Amino acid sequence: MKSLLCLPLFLFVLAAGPAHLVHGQSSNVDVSITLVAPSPVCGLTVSSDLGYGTIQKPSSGTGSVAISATTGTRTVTDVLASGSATVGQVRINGSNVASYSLSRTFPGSLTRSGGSLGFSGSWAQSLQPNGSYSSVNGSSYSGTSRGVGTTFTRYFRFGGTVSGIGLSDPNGSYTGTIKTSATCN
Amino acid sequence: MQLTYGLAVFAALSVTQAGAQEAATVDVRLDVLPPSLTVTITSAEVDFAEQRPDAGRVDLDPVTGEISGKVSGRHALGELSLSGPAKGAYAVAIEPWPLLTGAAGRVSFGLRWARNASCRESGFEELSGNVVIQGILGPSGCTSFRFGGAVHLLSTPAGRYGGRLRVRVIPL
Repeated sequence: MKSLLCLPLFLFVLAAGPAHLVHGQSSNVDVSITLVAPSPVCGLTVSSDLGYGTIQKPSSGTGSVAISATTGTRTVTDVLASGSATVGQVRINGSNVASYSLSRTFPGSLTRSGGSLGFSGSWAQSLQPNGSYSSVNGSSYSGTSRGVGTTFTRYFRFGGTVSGIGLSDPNGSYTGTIKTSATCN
Repeated sequence: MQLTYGLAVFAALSVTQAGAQEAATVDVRLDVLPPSLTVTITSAEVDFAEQRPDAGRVDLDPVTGEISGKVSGRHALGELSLSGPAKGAYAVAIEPWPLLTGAAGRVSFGLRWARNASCRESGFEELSGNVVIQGILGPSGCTSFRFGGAVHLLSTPAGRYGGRLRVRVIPL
């Protein structure tokens, strides 16, 4: 980012050179100033991936499995779930940041060889890793921090619903990728 | 001569701050298995405890778990549960052993059993007169069965009588 800063700098230069000058003369003094503005730095850390565990397909019809981005809990409809479920979690932290944004791209489906399952993602944010999470609407989240000399951390959780799971879907592991990117200024 | 210059400098400074960018990916995974039924045997014995030799009809109620005419000892219902995906179809077939046998003779046995559609502690309904039933697992994906029965004791010689109840669970 390019910003124009107007800084009043009062420089007092003590010229202690030889006394060649006499009253009434003038002199030009070159002043060179180097300002070091701390650059904003931010990082993204994936704390956990989004894992639904294992489900058994329904004998008839279709079922679904969901993990809530706000609570991290797993719910099923007409399928049987086993194994542990984990909500996806990403931490963004930074320093010297005045504003930041995080954007995400959900996959439209989870896939495996010969099959795919519909996926609808959701996400939420919080100031604390295990605090109260609020749903985020849209594909990006913008926030502010206190700029130079400060640090910040915010947490994001990713969940979603895998739907349309039927008896004809191939058995196996279905995978996808949620892409996230952050910009800090 | 020494001169001192006081310079007030107002500088318009153009500072370039490059924004930082980071990217990361979150993997998503779901493992899918075919539907199956899991049978869990909670109690593998039907026990009428100790009864009088001339107690007459002794009932071990699969709905309430109560037994009639007991003299002493522990009584028990047989119990198993089925779990699987909701809407999973199953059949349960019973091959009751009509007689309990012991060293001193035989005792007639009649099966009584009950089903709970959601595996709750309460809510059993008796399956009177059936030896084969079909069902579909509900939203809870679990159903349980309790097994009791009735024996007839009329001048029955003292002793221990036993038999075996064969239960078949068939995914449909």
